[in-house]
Amino acid sequence: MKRWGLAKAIASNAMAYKLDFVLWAILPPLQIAVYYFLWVSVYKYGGLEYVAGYSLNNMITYYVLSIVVGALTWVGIEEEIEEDIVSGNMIQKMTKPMSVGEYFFFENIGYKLLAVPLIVVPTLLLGYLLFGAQLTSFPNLLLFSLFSLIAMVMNFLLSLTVGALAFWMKKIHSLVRLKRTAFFLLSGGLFPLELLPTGVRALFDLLPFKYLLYVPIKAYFGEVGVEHFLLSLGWVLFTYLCYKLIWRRAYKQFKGVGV
Amino acid sequence: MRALKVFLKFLEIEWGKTMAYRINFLLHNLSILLSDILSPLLAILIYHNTPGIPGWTLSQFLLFYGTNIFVWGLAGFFFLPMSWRTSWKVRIGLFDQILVRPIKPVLHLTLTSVDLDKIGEVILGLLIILLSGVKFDPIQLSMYLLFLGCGILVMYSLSLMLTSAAILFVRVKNIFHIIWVLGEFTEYPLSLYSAPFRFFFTFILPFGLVSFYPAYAFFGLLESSTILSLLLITALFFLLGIKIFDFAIKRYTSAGG
Repeated sequence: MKRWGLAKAIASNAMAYKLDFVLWAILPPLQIAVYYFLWVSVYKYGGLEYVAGYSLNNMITYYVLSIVVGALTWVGIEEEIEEDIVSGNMIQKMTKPMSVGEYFFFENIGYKLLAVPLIVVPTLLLGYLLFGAQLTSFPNLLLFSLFSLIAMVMNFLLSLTVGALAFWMKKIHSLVRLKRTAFFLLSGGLFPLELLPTGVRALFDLLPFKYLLYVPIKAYFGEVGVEHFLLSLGWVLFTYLCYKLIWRRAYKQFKGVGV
Repeated sequence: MRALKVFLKFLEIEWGKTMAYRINFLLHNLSILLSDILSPLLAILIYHNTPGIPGWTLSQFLLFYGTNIFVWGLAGFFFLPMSWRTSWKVRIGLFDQILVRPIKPVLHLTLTSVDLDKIGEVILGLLIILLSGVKFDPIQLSMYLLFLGCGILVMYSLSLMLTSAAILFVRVKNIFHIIWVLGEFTEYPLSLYSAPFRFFFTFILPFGLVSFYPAYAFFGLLESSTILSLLLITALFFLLGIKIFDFAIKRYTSAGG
């Protein structure tokens, strides 16, 4: 109960900065517009019906959903961990009646409570009405939600793992920026993975990152199977173990400096 | 000469500060380089899977995109940071010091805004331009350099406007964010966008001059009337930047520090 209270408090605190949220709602359509114009011109110029198996509508839908999944799974805790360690606030978090991981998780849920009405819903509506994104069936929408939830948990655990490096490195914002850009590329945020040459695609398929974005989008198109579900759960378990391992060492490191 | 001395002194201080966190500097540059190669990567995949981007060969696109990175990198290296640094200085009351120094505020801010973290972006931009595979003809090159200068001036004027906003409104994170998102439109040629967008990025916020028009000038695709209009737009945007900055300095009220 306390945990959900934390999520609600974070959401209402963040609502104090209303202008930020107006911006959150305005900016995604602009980002979609860049790719919309690019792909419309490419399809028209080549007289193409399909590119790598995607119709123009599918391609636009891919970019709309890329923003939606990005908003649902986005995590900004690494900078907070960095700041908490430098300022000493981490000690307060360690003494709360929940683990640091749990604290950050429910804080993150608080932001998500806002992201859904302020980014996800407007982006989807504008995607359908303005850019002609494709609707899907109800079962596919449920699958999309399920895989997005898994992606959110996985991205959270990965961020918590990378964030823990601040215990050793102190300044990690450049590393975090590098991580976010790499994840964006490897997860299929920039383009559908089908566009890649076969050899490179095989390499991308071996990595866990496609479950952060590409697979949830494929679920929306109804192109996922049980194996995707099982593999994504496997990767969540793996990232959970990484998080546990690194945070155990981080605690020791923190105590080691005299806390 | 005095200006150069101030600039070199600040460069030395900045170098010392940057080198205190070498790994951070390296990682920062790596992250910038990775994010900068995303658009060319998508372009290469488009050319791999389709006939390409209308009106642009891959070489031409790379020249366009290299120019884009180069100008943004140069702006980020020399003067764009003055906007967020000013925002910070106003907030903590340090901006007053700049007003009482024996050097004009605009010059002081311009000379002391170097951000060495952007050096990788400048080098990458140059590399993409040189490796794009386009043939350099002296006349086209001079036209290109002229419009490259215009693009740099547009970015400088924008920096002055953003700095003015920081002086007037203090909390301007959101304005910066809007500009970065609008900046994403410069990653692909203006010719791909619809007429209202082309108008906006030519006459209102002339981001087209950052890379699109220099590349067009390079390929000899600009008519003389367009050339004159673009030079006029650059001059007007610069004048507007200076005027807004002067206005902001006059309206500045200290934070009381």
